[in-house]
Parts: sequence; C-alpha cells; structure tokens
Amino acid sequence: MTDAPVKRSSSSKHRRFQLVMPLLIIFSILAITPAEASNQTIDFAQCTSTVKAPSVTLGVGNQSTTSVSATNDYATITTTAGLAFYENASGPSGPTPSANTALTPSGSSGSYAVNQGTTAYLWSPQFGSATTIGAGSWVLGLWTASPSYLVGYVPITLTNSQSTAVSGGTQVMINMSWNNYTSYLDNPVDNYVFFNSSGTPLYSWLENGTSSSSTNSVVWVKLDSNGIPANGAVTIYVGFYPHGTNVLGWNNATGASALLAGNYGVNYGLYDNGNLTFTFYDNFNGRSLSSNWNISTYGSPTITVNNGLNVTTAKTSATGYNESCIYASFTPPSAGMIMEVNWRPVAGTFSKFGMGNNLTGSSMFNNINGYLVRPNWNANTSLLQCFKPPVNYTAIATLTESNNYVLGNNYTMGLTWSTVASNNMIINDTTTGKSASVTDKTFNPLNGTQIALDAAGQETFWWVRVRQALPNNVMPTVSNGSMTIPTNALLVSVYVTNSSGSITSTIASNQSLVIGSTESPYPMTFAGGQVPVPANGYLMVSLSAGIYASYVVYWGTGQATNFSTPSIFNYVLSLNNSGTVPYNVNISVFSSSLITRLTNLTLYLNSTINGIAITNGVFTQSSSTFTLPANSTLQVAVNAMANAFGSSNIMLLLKITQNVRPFAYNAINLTVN
Amino acid sequence: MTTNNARKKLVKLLPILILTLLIGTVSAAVFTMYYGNVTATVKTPDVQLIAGSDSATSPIAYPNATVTVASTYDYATIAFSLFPSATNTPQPATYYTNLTLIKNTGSVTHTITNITLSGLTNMANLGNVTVYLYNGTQTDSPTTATAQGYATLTSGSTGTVTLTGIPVTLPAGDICYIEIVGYAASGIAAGQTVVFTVSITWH
Repeated sequence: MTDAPVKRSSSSKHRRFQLVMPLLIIFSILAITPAEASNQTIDFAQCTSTVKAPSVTLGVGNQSTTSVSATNDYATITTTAGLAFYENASGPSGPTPSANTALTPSGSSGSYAVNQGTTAYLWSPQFGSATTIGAGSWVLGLWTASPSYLVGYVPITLTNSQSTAVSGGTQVMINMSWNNYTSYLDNPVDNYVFFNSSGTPLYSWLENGTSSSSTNSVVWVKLDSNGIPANGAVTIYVGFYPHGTNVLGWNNATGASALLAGNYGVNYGLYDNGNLTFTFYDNFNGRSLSSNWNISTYGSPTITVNNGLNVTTAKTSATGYNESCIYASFTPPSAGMIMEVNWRPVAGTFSKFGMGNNLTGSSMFNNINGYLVRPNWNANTSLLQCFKPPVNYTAIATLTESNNYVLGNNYTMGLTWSTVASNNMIINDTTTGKSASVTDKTFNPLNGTQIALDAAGQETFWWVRVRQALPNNVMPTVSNGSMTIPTNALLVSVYVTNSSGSITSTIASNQSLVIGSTESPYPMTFAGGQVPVPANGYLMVSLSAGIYASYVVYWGTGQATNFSTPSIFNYVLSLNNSGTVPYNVNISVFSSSLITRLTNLTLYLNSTINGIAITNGVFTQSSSTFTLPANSTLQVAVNAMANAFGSSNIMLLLKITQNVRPFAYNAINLTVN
Repeated sequence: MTTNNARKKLVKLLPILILTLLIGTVSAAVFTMYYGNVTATVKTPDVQLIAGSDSATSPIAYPNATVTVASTYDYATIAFSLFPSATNTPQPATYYTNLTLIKNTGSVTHTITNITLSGLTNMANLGNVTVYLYNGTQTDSPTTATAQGYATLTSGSTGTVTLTGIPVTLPAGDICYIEIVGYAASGIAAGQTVVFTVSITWH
C-alpha cells in the first residue's frame, strides 16, 4: 500500500494559512520597497593626535616675579611701573630744595642742574588711600646730557713764600706732569678740571703739553677770590672726568691755547678760554678785530685778522717802515699787571708792545706815556730792551739773549709792572726763560692804561694776555698730593611723606649713584620691613650732588622711579626655540585693563625690537612679528612708567608658527603695579 | 476532493496575492528598477574630503599636521601634534585652521546631515580638543568666530559625540572647513596619542 499523505484536518490547515500569509505580505512589502543606499554616503576621517613637546617655549628671565607654567606656554609677569616723579607746583611744600629747579607742571618733562652739594626734590603722584611699600630693590632711572663727576682728584698745594698775600684772581702757573695720571687722562688731555676746596671749578688755560705722557706741561690756573695768604698756602685740586669726557671749551672752566688746536684736531680758538682765565686776553680768532681794540691813526697800518693778527705798515726807505699800533684800554688789577705776547716778526725793525696811554694818533715809540718792550729784529741783535718814552729814550732794562732775535721765529715775551715788588719792572723772554728787572714807577698803569701792539714793518700776533702780578714777582710753589677716588657722586634718598610733605618714613638713605649720559637704571637696595604710606601721602626722592659733581638731571623721560623689578635692561621673560627650524612669532594684545595710568610701557624684544608700546594710556603698538631663529633665545624686557598708583593688566598672546598655519598660542599675563 | 480543496485554497489566497501586487505597485519607478534591467555607473562622490594647507607643514618641527585623503575621496587619515597645557584663560593651544575641507564637487546641492566624533581612544591623554565646522569661510580664529557647528572632546568623553549646527546645506561648489583647536593634558609625556574618528553623513 502506498503511503498516503498525512491528511490534516481542515482546521489545522487554516491556522497555518493564517500564520504564513501575514509573513508573506510583510516579506513582499520589504522585498519590493526600494532602499535609500544609492543617495546617502558616510565619510570618515581617522584622526590621530600625538603629544609633542613644543619647540618654542617660555622661560623665566632674571626677575623673580616671573613664573612660567610647567608646560612652558603660559607666563605670569608681575612688575611695577616707574612713577613719573616730578617737581610738583601744586604738591606739598616739603623741604626747600637748594638746587635751582624750575617748577614744572606734572605730566611734562624738563631738566635742572644739581651742582656741588645742592639738593633737588622730586615728588610722586599723591597716594589716595593708605598703603604699604614692601622692601625690595629700587631703581632710579635718570640721565644727564653732560655728566660732571670725577673719577679721581689730586690736591695741589700752592705755597706763597712772600710776606704779601697773593691776590684773589691771580693766575698761577702750574707745571703739570700729566704722565703721573696717564690712566685717568685722555690723550691729548681734555678730561680734567681744576677746582677749589668748595668744589667750584677754577679757570685754567693749558699753554703747552697736550700729551698725557707730558712731564712739564704749563697750565695757568686762576685762583678764586681768596688768593693765597702771606706766607701761607691753599689747596686746590685737579680732578679727572671719566675717559672720553672732553671738557675743553672756549666758554668752559678748562681751556687750552688756540695754538694747541691742531693737537686736538679742532678749529683755532675753539678750546681757548683765555678771556676767562686772564685779566685781558685776545687770540685774534676769526676774521675781524674785536671791539676791544682801537687802531692808531698814526702810520696808517693794514690790519688783517685770520686766526691771528697781522699788522703791516708801509715802507719808508730801503730798510725803514712806518710805525703804527693797535691798542686796548682797560683797568689793571691793583697788584699790578704782566703783559705777555706770543708773536712772530715778519719784516722790519723795532716792532714792539707795551702799556701806556696817549696812543691815539702818535708814534708809540715817540709819544707813548708808559713802557714798551722792543727787540731789534732786523739788526740781528740779542737784546730785549725796555724803554719809557717820551721821558727817556735810553733803555731802562736790557736782557741779553744767547742768540740773536731773528725774523720768522715765534717768541713769547712779557712786561711786568708790579705794585708789590721792589724791582717792579721786569722784561722777560718766556721762550728762553730769561728776564731783566729795574725799578721804575714813574708811570702808574693803575691810573688808566692802554696796552698796545706795534708794528714797524710786519708782525703777526697769535695772542696777547694780561695777568695779575705776584708779590715780588714770585710764583707760588706747587706740591701735588696723592689721588683720591670720590665715592659720593650723587646721593639719593627716598622718603615717604604725609599729605603736607613732612617726612614720615625713610625708604632709602643717601645711597651713592654715578649717573651717565644715557638713560640707565640705577638700582638701590631698600632693605628692611614694609614702610607705611599714609592716606594722601607722597613719595619724595632727594638728589644731592656730591661736592665735586654736577648733574643736569632730566626727568619726564628719565626720572626717579620705584621700579621694584624690571627696567629696560632687566629681562622678565625668555623665548626659547630649541628646534632646528626658525619660527615666526607674533606677539599681540589679547585684552587689557586700567592702562590709562601708564604714561609709557614698552615691551622690548632683545632691547632692539619694540614688541608692544603704550604712550599716555593708549596702545601705540599692539602687535609685533619677529623671527625666532633656530636654536636661539630671545630676551623680553619691560619698561613701564605711570602717572598714578594702581594695577594695570595686559594679556598678551604669542602666536608661534613655522609659516602661517598651523600655529600655537602661548599666553603672557603681564601685570604692572 | 483534492481538486476542490486546492481550488478553495487558491480562492482564499487570491485576494492576498492581489493585495501583494497592489502594494508592490506603490512605487512604479522602484518597481521598475527592482525588477527591470539595472545599469550601475561608477562615479566619484559629489562630496569629497580634501587636505587643507595645514598638512604642508615641515614634519621636523611642531606644530605640524599631515592629511592623507584616500583616492576615493571618502576617507582621510589625519595626524597632528598637540602640546600639553594646563587650563588657562586665554588657553594656550594648537590651531589647525585649514586642516581638512569638505567640498561639494557636484552640480547639485547636498546636505550634510550629521557629523560625529566616535572611536574615542586614549582620551585620558587629552586636555581638550574642539572640532569646528566652518561653512564657506576659513578662519584663523575658530574659537571666537561664528562656527556652523562644533563638538568638544575632553578626557572624560566617551561614545559618540555629535557636532552641533548640523544639518548644513552644501550647495554645488561650496566648501566646509574642519578646524581643530586643542591641547593635551598638562602632565602627558611626549609620544602619547589620542585617536578619534570623524564621520560625515550627507545626501
């Protein structure tokens, strides 16, 4: 039998049908419904970021108030702005300055001199509320256009052996052995000054010996009004400025003969202060005769001035010349006078110089009422003679030289008329050191005189000077002491005052500074505890020049400050590129607050690039781009000044990149208190 | 009997089959494509990934990045450096502002419907990474400019993070920029890595 299919009951079949059909329907729907895959895509970007140590990092500078994060990408700098200390016309009265300082409104700038032993006062802005100032390092930012301080000085004792005092203002000759001070002196010598015991400079005129190795240079020094007591002594000083400080000048205390101009490489007369050193002086500088002189109408001379005086008269015969002169009136000192000329005979005979009167329209030799000195050039004699015409045409004094006087040579000769010497008349040839004397007081120059320079032919005069006569014509003896190194160039003190200017605390007392000619910081130490500042109080800075120092202090640009940390030469931060490729770095301002009090802020990059700058509370430079070479370090410094107390903040971003992108930002949080 | 039964079953199934056919005719085009002849043409995708200029950096110094886009333009391998940094304001970080571009190279407008960050690996090494999407204009100030969207990963991030500001319409020829700003955790040593995947869905 054939197996029949298993017959299922109709109810069972119906149930299977009921189950299969819905599934079949759903399957059919799913099978024929289109998918969305054809217009939908998924893209991927697999990102792998690797941690690297940055090539460019921030580092602390030499300031302890800078901190850098452990990741070397975030620096916090706290610094203190220098306050614009000033002479405050509306401030407290305070101590009375002895330096002559002009009051100037705050916010501006100016300068004033602080000379030997005087004191000036500078004032901070007024504090609003009471506060305290911590101990630390203060920096005085000052500069002076012409620093005048000494690095050493030597006492020079001048002893008067005579029973008559040397009058004040007398010019004394000092033979200087510059070679003893070679290490202090420039060569040629130009950085010295003579001064008295009060520190007041004395006029000096170097006649010869410009080399710093010279052993016998002649310097004429004009004494102060005290002179030298009879049989007594005074001490003056010669001081030395720092190397490179040339103090020579026609209007300065220290000068040199016009004839030495070539040694200094300057124009004739530029360093010649003879008119300040001597009682009367002319070097005939320039192209015209000074108004001190008159030209005699007698003899019709030709007068030419061209850095020296040339007087020419007409020939009257084969060997004869007209005679004429120029003359100047003045009042001699009561002690008497010494007239000296440096001249060169060119042609003719009997040219002369002298003192007297009645020179307006007459021959000096025939009509002068006074004395004259005359060598006989053309006769080639060795005689230098003194005459007193018109009373006596016979020489009253005669000096015989070893050699004849000859035309074309330079000579320095002198004529002395003294009221304090028995043999009051002296003629001398400084060139040879010889002299001759005689007593003759029949003409008294003190009653009014003229000095005259005369030519009978042609003469060139380089200079003429009149100096004060010495007792018995004896020069004081000179004795040099040992070198002293001064230590009190400029004394600086910083005080706290109350609102009326009375000192309540001392921050720094009499600290010594030497200020140069460029703006520089001068650190002082403020050791000790905190100092309280009362409400509405001030900070006061006193500047006292040492006895031998003079300063022209500029302020507003460089002024006393209370820097506690940085200055333009103190680095607050370093930028280090340890990589082998250069980086472009841009520094820019991210944000700022309370910067209106900053009169100036400069962030320097290596002291040569201004990275960020604020002037009078406004950013004048808010970004800077520079290259940080491979394997290099760049130092960052901050200099800030403020006109008010407070705390300013500047957040800086440092953008670091090889090219343009990608880049990294570091951050610098700069707080300026 | 058997014939009758079969006929009865067919009568019962017929409405269902008819209903099935009726449902199948809802989309005539699909129906045609599904059952008709299919012609599949190979095309490059309209929306492509392109390496940005950041990837041109010298590899010997940091920061630097390399972006390698597959020849199919739908997959990119991106490597970039991060520096360790502590949290600060402003935040020191490395900026990749022209890293990878998404360009619609086709002739019709497309829509980016979703961008996610997933496959997060070694997140403990991370300080912070923010992925920005800039639509149309590249900027070197992604943290302050107005981004189309962004998403931030931190050391605690897990799973999938979705960029804000999506969907975004990408007309033909337009470009979106993926810009990344980030830094590693301050104590992490050099050489450690952080990995994540950027997924872009578009139609």
